[in-house]
Amino acid sequence: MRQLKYIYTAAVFLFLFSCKNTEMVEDLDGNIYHTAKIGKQIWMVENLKVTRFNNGDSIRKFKSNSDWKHVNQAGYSFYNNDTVFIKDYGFLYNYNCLQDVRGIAPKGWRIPTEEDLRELESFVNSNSIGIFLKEKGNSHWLPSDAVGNNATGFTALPGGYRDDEGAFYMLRSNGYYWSTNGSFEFYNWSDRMFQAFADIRRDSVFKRYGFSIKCIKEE
Amino acid sequence: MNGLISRLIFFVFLFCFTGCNDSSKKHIVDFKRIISEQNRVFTIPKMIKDNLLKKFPTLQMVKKEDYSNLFWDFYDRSAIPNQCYTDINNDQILDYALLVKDNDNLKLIIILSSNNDYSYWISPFSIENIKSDGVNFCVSVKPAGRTDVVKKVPESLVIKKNGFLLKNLEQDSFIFYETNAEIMTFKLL
Repeated sequence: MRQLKYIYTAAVFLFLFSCKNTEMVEDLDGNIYHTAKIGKQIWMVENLKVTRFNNGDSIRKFKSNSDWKHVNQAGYSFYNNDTVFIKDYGFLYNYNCLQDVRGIAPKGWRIPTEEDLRELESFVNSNSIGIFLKEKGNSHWLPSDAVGNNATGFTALPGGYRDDEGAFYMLRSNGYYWSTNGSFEFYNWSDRMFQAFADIRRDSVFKRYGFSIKCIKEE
Repeated sequence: MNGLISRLIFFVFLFCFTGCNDSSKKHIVDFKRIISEQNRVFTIPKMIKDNLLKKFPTLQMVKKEDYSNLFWDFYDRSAIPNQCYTDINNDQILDYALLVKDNDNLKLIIILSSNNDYSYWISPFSIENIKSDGVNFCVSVKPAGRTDVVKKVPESLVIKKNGFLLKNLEQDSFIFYETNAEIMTFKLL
């Protein structure tokens, strides 16, 4: 009888935690991210805000413009170095974070590739893809006639970017996310998704830029 | 009997556990591709336009009916070619661009917002001498980024903030952007 109780308890825990894993993911710092299933893909809803690689090593926080510009290491910051923006917009990571073998995406997750973006575009199958991917309403985005409805749950946000000099730009109007080869972007005035700003194969200076990260689940 | 019920409950748990895991892997989740018309109604606030005309009474707003038939061969009639908006000075507040008529001259006005105050910049040159067949220029947003042009020599412009792009029909003609509180012009032709 006692053995059965143990089995019940184990089954209840397994049930609860297995369900939680299908809807949420936790990073090494204990931050919880919701997930959105779009077609066959599963995307993180919130922007990444982890401060450690998967082996537990800290990712360097670059506050000063000088450090951001000159130190050639994986690093992150947050808009205007103001902690008030972290909760909603997460961190802005440089490209070294993506390349680091210690891994920045939670286990079982990764940085999206161009193929992932093509699959996303193909599934949404609309010229107004941005409407379906941007957060619903104007609570973060500047007003426009291309307001998102977030029908997919993707929740793109206008987190702006940090340039190679360390300056911050375009919070509330532009959202920049890393893919493995560059950025993909959303704009307050546009109903589309773009891949026009940063291509690190074309210009390596973009490796020193800081963008948001939205991870995708490995298949 | 108790043992039977216990086993039954145990297998129900196991079933839920397995079903829960599989549900995220197998099903394709779709959504309704409907865009509310309410999403398409934002324009430059009337109060801002009225203030502009009070301040510059000799200017006239360019209206859709001022455009040439040739222009509408290139663009959809639902387009709003004479005005647009974005943040061009990185203060997280919308700024506006409007095409206006100054007698027969087409000019661009940029309205820089800061809280409830506005400052105005008018293009010091005529963009187009408006002829009887109508206006051919439209204004749109130029997002932050790099623009390369080849004129007599190759030239590049990198803007860190959004700007405004002026097109002659579909041909990019000017970029207007803000830097150090000044509006700069980059000619593309």
